[in-house]
Amino acid sequence: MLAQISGVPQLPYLVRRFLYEQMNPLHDPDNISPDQYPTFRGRVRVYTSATATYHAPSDHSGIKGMRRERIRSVGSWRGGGARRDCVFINNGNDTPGFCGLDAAQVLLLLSVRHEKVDYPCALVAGFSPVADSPDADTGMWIVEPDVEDKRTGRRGLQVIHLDCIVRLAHLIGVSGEDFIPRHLHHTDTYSAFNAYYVNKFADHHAHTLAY
Amino acid sequence: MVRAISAFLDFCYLVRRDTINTDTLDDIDRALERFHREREIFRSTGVRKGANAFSLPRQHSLSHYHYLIEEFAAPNGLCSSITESKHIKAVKQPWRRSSRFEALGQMLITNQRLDKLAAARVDYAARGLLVGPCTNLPAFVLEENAESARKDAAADAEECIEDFHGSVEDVGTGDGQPTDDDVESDVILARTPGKLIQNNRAFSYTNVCM
Repeated sequence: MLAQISGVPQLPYLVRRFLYEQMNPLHDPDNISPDQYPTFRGRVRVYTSATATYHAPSDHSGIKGMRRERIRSVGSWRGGGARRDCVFINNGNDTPGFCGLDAAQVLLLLSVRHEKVDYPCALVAGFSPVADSPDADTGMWIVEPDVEDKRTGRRGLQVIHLDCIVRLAHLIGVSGEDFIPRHLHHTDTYSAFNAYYVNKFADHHAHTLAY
Repeated sequence: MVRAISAFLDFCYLVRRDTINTDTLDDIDRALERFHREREIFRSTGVRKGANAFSLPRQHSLSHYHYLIEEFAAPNGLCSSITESKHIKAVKQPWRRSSRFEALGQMLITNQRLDKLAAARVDYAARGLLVGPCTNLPAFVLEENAESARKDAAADAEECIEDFHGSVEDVGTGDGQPTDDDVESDVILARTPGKLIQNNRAFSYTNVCM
């Protein structure tokens, strides 16, 4: 039913694949057929926000200071359009800077209960870097949306555990040399462009992460 | 111009980091060199003119950062407008409080007294005297309160630190923070789930506009 309301028909499949990954961390879910993913009949709760807390030393809070920010994913923000924040995800490479991260947009924040264990997770639409190094002019990495089906433009979606999320990301659409259409609403920015800059100048935490 | 600003922002954010090693210093040098190279566009388009086009104190100070970081460690967000902000508290306000007659002497005395008050406050806070009820009490009671206040303050401080996250392993102070695993970051869901409303469509984001 959640799949219907959110308009993501492949959600049950993605949740089952996620549960397989969680229960079998050493196995690649692509190596087995989807029928062998655990059947899921449990409870799913949708959340509108999550807080990310990370180490951010400063004079004010000392060398052990932490900073907390909110990741939001709501259908209607302050009575207006939807607000789905983008985040940085740890992709497992130990390389510093943006090479060890991926950007993704959080579509839904979920808590999935399976066999008496609650898994906090998120349905995300990923982005991939376009080149091996940042853009020469702006110094920012450029990413493009992961597309599963080039013909229809359907995005590649994934359910990931919240522990993979590092913090919020800010993506700026690459608008090229043309003017942006007047009717483009700011809530649609994350689906309107073919490529995005990963804004490392948002604040110094972003700069350290996306350098 | 975009490249100049990008290089300048890179420099600023690099210098803003809390730990700076030799690689970071190399990056800082490269960013500064890029900035100096790209800012010539402002001179060639006539925005700033002449041989002293970029002879601005704060811009000049950028070239001293590398040496000063090696001497004095990372500035860690020390703002370059501290002299400007301190001017208000240390010069303008004392002057306004003076009688304007031989104001310099009065301003110096005002600053001296403010510094002494600040030092006394830090001292009292360290002794735990600023915690607890107000002090119209005899000295021996005050002393007792100070003792127990100190103990309470220490206990509270410990609780807060444990509550609010583990320590960071690269600090190396080893001052006894009890942690088994170092948690550097954490993401937790909000306390209450949201309502399942009809227009919570994630669908519009599942298609790229082609």
